[in-house]
Amino acid sequence: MEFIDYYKVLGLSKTATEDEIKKAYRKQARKLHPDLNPDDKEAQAKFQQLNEANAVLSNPENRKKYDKYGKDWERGEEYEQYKQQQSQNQRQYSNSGQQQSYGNFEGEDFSDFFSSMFGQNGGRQSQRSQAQYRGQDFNAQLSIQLTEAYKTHKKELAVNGKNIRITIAAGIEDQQTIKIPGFGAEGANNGPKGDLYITFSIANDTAFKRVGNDLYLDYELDLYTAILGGEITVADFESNKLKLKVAAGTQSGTKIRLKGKGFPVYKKEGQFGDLYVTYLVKIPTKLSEKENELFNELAQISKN
Amino acid sequence: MEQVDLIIVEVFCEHYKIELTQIEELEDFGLIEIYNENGLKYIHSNNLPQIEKVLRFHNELNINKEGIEVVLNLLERLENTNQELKYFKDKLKLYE
Repeated sequence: MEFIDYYKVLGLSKTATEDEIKKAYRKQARKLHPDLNPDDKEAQAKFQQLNEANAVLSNPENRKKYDKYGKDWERGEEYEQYKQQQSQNQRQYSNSGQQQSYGNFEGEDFSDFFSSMFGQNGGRQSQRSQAQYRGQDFNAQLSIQLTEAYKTHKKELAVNGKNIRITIAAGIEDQQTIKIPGFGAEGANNGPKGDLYITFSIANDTAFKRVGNDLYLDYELDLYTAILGGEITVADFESNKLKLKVAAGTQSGTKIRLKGKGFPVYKKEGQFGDLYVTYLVKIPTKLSEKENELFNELAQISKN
Repeated sequence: MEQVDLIIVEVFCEHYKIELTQIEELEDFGLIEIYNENGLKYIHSNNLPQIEKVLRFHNELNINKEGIEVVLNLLERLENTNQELKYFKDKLKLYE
């Protein structure tokens, strides 16, 4: 647990006036507000600190305690005494919140430092008030393999102690977020439940690379087929064997497109991207005596 | 047929502790959608997250309607740009 310098968070000195605190808070909030920084975890963490800083420094009593014990939160008799009184005082703090505060979003928890000094309730005033109507949204991360993302499949998840079964449509993208309506927190006053947002992280342990709906594969082509041409077999993502004709004189880096052999298009059944096969001509490194002789002969011919 | 959850605007305003005029102003400006049915005004529950966002911009950051529209447009552009960026990053990985 680390000490958080709330003055630094607001970019102020210890002598800052109430008005300066208010102004600094508003300015930073306009920069770090989660609605303005979607998917930016760093901004969201900073916003949480900002809310804490405001909750502490804009409340004269909290500020006084923070100034006196903040840095020494983990030691000192006075702080221990203060902690003992904390439970009595908490009620007072949580009922005193009249100041303007900004939304909390998914960051329900306070930093350990804040909770240790002021308790979980100490910052209630810095949070958006509990759901008045629609329940809060939940956010979750789910890691799957690229091979799983290729096929529509079901997955069971435990979200806040509840098991839910979701269908993941083929073609889901890395970092794509899907919404599961009604799987967030309960609403209040007969309001609708919040929603569950799941962001997918797709790991790839295959030889294929994915760009959108297209797949890319490197194929090592032996020198002789590249020069003379021939036929090769390439396995697609489903391990189906595809026979390909290689033209004589194929250069390394040549790319061929196999239409419809790529990744499924999300929620468009039967539609697939393309598969691009790049030929990488493999130059033999260990030549036998005979091969060496023949290559030398070829070299001479090409010079003449 | 899909069930549609509609919330009476007055009920919404009561729970969110906002004035009816505020919602009407946001609708007039085209920032939120309100449905009329049998002489009553409703909000579609699917639109709640978006309406909440608009209200947060308005109430928490003191952004006026024009500003909210600009912010929403820019956020949409940011989202599109991020998608493009992801596409090009993936493409760049092909050459790593």
